[in-house]
Amino acid sequence: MTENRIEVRDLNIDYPGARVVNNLSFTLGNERLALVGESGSGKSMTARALMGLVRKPGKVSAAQLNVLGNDLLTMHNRGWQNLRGNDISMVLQDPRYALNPVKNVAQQIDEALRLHQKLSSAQRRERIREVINAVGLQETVLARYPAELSGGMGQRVMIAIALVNNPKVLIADEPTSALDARLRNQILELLVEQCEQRQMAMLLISHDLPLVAQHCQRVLVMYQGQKVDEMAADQLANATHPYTRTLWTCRPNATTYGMMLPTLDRSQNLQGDNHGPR
Amino acid sequence: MALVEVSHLSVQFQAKGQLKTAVRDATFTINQGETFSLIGASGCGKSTILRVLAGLQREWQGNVKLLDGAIKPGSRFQGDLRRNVQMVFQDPYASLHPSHTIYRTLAEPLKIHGEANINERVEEALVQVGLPVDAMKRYPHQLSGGQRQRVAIARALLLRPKILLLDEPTSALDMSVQAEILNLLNRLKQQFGMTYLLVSHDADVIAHMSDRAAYMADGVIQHEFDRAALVGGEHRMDAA
Repeated sequence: MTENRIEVRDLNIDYPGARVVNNLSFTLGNERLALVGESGSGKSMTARALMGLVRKPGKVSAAQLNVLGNDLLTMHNRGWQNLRGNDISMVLQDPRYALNPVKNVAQQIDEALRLHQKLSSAQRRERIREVINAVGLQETVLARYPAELSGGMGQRVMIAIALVNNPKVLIADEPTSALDARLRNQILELLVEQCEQRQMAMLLISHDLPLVAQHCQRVLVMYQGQKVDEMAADQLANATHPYTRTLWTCRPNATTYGMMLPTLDRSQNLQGDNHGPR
Repeated sequence: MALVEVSHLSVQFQAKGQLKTAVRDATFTINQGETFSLIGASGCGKSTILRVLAGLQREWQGNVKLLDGAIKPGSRFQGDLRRNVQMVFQDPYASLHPSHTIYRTLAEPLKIHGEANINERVEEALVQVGLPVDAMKRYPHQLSGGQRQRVAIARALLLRPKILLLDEPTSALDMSVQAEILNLLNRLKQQFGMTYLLVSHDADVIAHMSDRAAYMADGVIQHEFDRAALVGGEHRMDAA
């Protein structure tokens, strides 16, 4: 954790009528950071801002927004093209919607390579073979189309596309919530393993705090667009913030049988009074 | 007392000219006031069993007794069954009519069954599931996923069913909203003594909710678990 790969200071994202991210600051070194919160808490919008994907009428403003030494606030199209998919890449939630249905797997991985590298077709074929093996798939998958893949396989293909250019930062936006419980740990373990092999930093976005805590070193908790808590993952059992505590303990299991699960008191103002009405 | 008795149930589909068996020789019973769960990977046939018990899948073989009356393949539910068996579907985004207000969605089953005091009943149902009364003027797209699932549960509960069929009621929801919905289901069960058949692929949800559970794979019920086995985590054998 020597250099900061992502530096965010006072990030605001505004839509007409609502501020969806409010004064968010964090840094990411060579580590795995989990960004956790409910739907609507602004965690996906934060990821989109880092990828330059906030659509109009959304507006991004910040005191500092820096990825690998690039100032994202002044970046133009050419700069984005060089950065995105190359040094920083993203894995989305649902492979059924995120992959191109009319291109086969090999073509989709190849596209990412051709946009960012000058390689001969033989070299590209070799890279595609390497990456598809790295995500635990057979080479026969390369000729298939997205409709012929299961959910878990599709997610692995998306990870392969994100990894093929050896990015320094990987953003994974709910990479497991479209999958069976059984597949979730497999996919997260794959991501962690690849992070370590490639010395890649990861920003893992999820609503399932106990699940991501096993796979990340640090956790940042968001609620209604603001950071409410930040701590080392192994300290979560001692969390004091009420929102973090609820997220940590609301997962049901065999010992909670017959008991009520802890839930959020949504009438409670978790940020204190200084931010005004929303 | 057994409320649901299923013996040797098989369901076959005609797919691309060949016969596919979705459920093979399933046998189980559910007692009054019990929560019985089916667990298994996607495509194992657990939702198909639910659809048979809801009267939506009418092509099947075997013997099924619901509330002490036998139901027959190929025929629609008649009489009280229509009221006493209700289902909550997986996807709260797809199971509500997009151009009907919440009031219209909730009032419809009451009108069909000729109930009185429809306004009060709808208000009461919304309060029961923890939604504000003025939510009934809204449309589904104006509610969040958790709120929609509450509306779907409220609709299923309005007719005071004896059996509630729950098809992955929380898998589309956030972890914290899931806790709220599971609490709601357990509270209603205590209040009205209902019987639940729950389908899920989440071993933790099953362990939290169920009195008994069965593991399905390839259309066959492979094992049944009692409470002790669920506490011991034996139903997680597919999680390895």
